[in-house]
Amino acid sequence: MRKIIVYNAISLDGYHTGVGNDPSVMFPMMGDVFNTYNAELLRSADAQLMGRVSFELFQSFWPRVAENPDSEEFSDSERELSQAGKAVKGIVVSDTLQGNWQGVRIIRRQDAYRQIAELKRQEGKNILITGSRTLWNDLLAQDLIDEIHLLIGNLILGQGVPVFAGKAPASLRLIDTRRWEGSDSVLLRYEVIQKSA
Amino acid sequence: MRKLIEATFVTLDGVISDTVPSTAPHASPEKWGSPYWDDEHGGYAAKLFFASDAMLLGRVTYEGFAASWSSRKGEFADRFNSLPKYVASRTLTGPLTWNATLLQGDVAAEVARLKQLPGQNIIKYGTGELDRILMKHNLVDEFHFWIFPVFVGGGQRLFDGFDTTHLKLVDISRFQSGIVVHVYTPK
Repeated sequence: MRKIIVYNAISLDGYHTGVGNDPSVMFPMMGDVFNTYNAELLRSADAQLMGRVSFELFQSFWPRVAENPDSEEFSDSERELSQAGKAVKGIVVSDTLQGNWQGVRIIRRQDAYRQIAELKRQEGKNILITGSRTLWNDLLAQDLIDEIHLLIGNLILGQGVPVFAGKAPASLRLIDTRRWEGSDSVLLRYEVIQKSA
Repeated sequence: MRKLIEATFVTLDGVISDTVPSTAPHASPEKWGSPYWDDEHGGYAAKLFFASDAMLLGRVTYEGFAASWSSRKGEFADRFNSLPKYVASRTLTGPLTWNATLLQGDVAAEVARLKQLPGQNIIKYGTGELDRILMKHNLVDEFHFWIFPVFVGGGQRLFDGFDTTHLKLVDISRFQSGIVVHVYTPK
């Protein structure tokens, strides 16, 4: 069966974003490594699940890369990621997102567990979740997440939005670690062995 | 010069322990950490410990360690108990038990002085208020963060409320249990 894989960049003190859900505090640690690995994951996927907040953040940036692939405004790793995402269908879980987004499917929350479980049963490549902390925390508690890949940065934020807000602990099995030349980040890949509550 | 080395256990979501007073008992490292404490874990801890001949502690860790270690016996425990300790506290008054000396006055200057003395490394277990001073004065030479493969979801966080700090990654060690120790130096 295809897997649902979560990919997040986090700080050493376990934050997903900074105060006020500001993602920019994470940019120094993310660099090209984050995009390069994200592209690798996208090439193994044919769907990307998102919460509304992450979807809106991605929409504010990635369409510009796709429309201006030769612009010097963007880095090689951003172009690579944009390219890797072309064949991947976007699915947003939200009750408030309105409008008709081309190539994007919207799932309402009351129906989300059933539809996502159904999606997993269908034939296909993996399903990727990047960012979208609220969504994947919830899906983890429903036992719908198979793997969690965390890019752990070399930074301590001191405050921010925690990556995990579950009420009970979740245990994972370490699959693999990876480092990149010239990067202070560490990729830790885990398989979910015990869902949280 | 001898190094000041910090070693601490952290969950994937950055939790180090329960709060004081207790609001998240499941955040105590005995709860989430103990299933992973095996020979490989012990071996790494012993290597760090036997390369040190002094311990630096904040008051909270000092009180917890003194209570739980004083009566233990064995090669590790005997050395743990007999090693000289230096304790930073704004509330304790000397003399202290468990071979400990209270650091008084300018703690940063005192720690800098200890680092100039001949000897093996100085080991510091646990993180907390004392680290505000140590990190501000760039006195920690190495951080060994033991990243456990668990999410806990609440409790006391690593360096809670500290200023944003970037470190330099120097090494990682992966254990069979799923713990990965990340070693950083100041950037």
